[in-house]
Amino acid sequence: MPARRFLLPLALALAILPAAAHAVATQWVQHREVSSRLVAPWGSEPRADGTLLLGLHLRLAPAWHAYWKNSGDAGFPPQVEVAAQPPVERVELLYPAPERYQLPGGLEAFGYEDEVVYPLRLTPALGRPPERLRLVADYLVCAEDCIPFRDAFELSLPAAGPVDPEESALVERWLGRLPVAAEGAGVVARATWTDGRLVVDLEGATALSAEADLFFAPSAELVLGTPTATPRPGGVRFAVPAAAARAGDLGAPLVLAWTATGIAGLAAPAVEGTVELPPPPETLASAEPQGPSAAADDDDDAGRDPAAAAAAPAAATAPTGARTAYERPGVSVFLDGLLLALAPSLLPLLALHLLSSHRRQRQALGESSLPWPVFLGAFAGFLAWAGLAALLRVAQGQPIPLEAPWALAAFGLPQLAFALLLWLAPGSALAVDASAGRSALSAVLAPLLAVAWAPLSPSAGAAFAGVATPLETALGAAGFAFPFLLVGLAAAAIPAPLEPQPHPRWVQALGFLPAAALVWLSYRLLEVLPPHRLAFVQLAWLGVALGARLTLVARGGRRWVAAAATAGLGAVAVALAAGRPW
Amino acid sequence: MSEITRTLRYAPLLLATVLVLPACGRAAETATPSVVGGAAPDFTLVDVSGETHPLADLAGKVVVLEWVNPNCPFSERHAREGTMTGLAEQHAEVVWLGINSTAEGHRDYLQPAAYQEYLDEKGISYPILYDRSGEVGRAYAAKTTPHMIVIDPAGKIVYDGAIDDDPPGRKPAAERTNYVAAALAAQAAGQAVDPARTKPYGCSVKYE
Repeated sequence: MPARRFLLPLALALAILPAAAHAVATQWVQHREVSSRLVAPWGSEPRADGTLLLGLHLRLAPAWHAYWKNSGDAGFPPQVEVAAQPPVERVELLYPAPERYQLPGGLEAFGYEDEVVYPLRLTPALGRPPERLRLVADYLVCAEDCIPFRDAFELSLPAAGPVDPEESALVERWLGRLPVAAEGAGVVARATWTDGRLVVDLEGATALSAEADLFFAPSAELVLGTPTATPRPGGVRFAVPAAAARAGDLGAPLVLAWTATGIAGLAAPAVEGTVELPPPPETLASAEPQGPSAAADDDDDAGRDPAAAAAAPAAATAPTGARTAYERPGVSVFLDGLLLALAPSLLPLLALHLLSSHRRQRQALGESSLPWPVFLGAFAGFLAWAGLAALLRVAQGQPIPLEAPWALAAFGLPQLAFALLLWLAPGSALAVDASAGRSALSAVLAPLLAVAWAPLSPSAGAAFAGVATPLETALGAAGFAFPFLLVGLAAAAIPAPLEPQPHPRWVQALGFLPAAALVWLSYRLLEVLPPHRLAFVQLAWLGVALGARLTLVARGGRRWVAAAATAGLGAVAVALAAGRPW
Repeated sequence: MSEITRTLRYAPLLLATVLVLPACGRAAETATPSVVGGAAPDFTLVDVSGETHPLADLAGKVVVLEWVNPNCPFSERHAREGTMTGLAEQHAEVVWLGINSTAEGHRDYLQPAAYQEYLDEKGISYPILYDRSGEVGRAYAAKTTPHMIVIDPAGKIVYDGAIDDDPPGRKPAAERTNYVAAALAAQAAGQAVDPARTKPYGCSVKYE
């Protein structure tokens, strides 16, 4: 019996020890905005070319981004310092294909949101792979604020051992996002000047995806704006607003390093190369305000080698990111959910539940009934929408971009629907608690109103982006549903009399809050869309409002026509927001 | 009048209302941004203490413009380390102006009293000018804080870009290349500034 007592601890130790001896990743360095770690799935085992491959892994909180090798108008790319034993003679930090982010004020950033693994290639000195290394990473993450971080990692690299499949797959996925060399991919770039714009034709790119984009390395001679992509037979054309960065002769020839992303039909999602420009016209047109700063980059920091990203494996699947970017105490997660339920758009819903719940309980001759349907409905609704987001995240390989223009436009639709319901059918709105089923249904739909306010609630934002853990999602759902429970309990506690049927004008006044949410969404859209495109999105919203009104009053077949037109205009609003800036 | 017709009567009014918001958005910039070697755009701005500073009054002098934001960690670090104040002491003949293009409604905006307190704490004695509308910042294509512009006595921009070559601030001060110091030294020696343009780093300017 005494011997048996030690069996379980011994088994656990035996299970842990091998993992400790072959640690393939450091612990996460946790910050509120980002977590980082160093990953070495293959230890010190060299690859076919004799180099070692590691990964600098960042997980970012919603709305925060890290930077590409050209950071855009602001920021700076990460820098690493490596000390290894035995030493390495070269350290290359590689940059997966970036995305473009619009910043307030017409500025742009190039980088990554949610998650990124920067592949790190080490070339051993004297052919001896390092057994132990220390890496210090300086990097910057920005949302509305910017915060620089300096994280240090130490890792022992085992010479041999089983390769961790999950970690190796993670690094391989991000390797697959490294741009391939244009030459090897059969892509040829040609540049011309047309009407003061730089036109870059990529020939050999067989198809154009909706997200095609073109990035340049900083230029000392030119200020380059945001490109617009157009499919052409046998290739893609990018038109780039350009202006001279300095007076006088810009010198010739000008050679620009470029990276194109979203090019379909290639082994990797991005391709890079250089293109020689013909002499620019004597007077270049003014650059549009959007675009990267174009200046010579005199930094010569270790770990950045733009030309080193040519030989990338063919895997082109995007990373999935199984966990949240940060960890917060359970109480904070609960409070985040509670805060979300108190967002302006949901206050009318809570008020309606309070009024109609009180009336229903009084009609039941004072018998109180705990508001479990409402609580469970809100709880289940939050779980359902977060679960759907998680499924979508797994399916498309990246979190739901809650800050994307199309998402903001889509979030406006439930706000619009709720405002219209309160304005046009206050009686129906007041009957929200008419039955347990109806009250539960209204609570299930409540997260649709809440998602527009997710940026105010980090944990809820993570849940709606599909990156929260199940425990965080459950805690957030409990916090979100809690006010609904309180409202139901309060309704039972309010002494009679309350007006059994509040005047419809009071209910209609509540419609101001979801309508105000639309204005707030418009403000956020204004930061990422040109004003004229926002106008068309709002026109589509307006069309949805008119269509909804017509659907209510139409009869027979016209009702279906009106409903279809309403849905179509809603889709138009989202599509308009999803397109590239004009 | 049918419900449908009654509803459609309101459409033009709602249409006009909803189009107001985009019209309030930022106007497309049409002015040519400044270029190295070109004339420095003129401006007149008011500093934290209320004094007016017209650039035209500084003709014949070397002027250094530094875009700042106390809430930006890069701008704050340089203020704390005295990057520009130290250089200003070495070049007494040069006019130093900080420009804050943060929009007044932005949370980074500092009222004059609070800003003066910050300047006293950091030992910054050269003027910090308010550019609340961002007009001057956009004229100089200022994108980051810090973002440096050096103007020669003839009113031409001779340097545009980063404050130094060390964005994370990890190098010892003696190992950093201070591009502004290099530009001033070249100016004093009558030589061309090289590099005349670098990529600035830092937080984005908080324009409207």
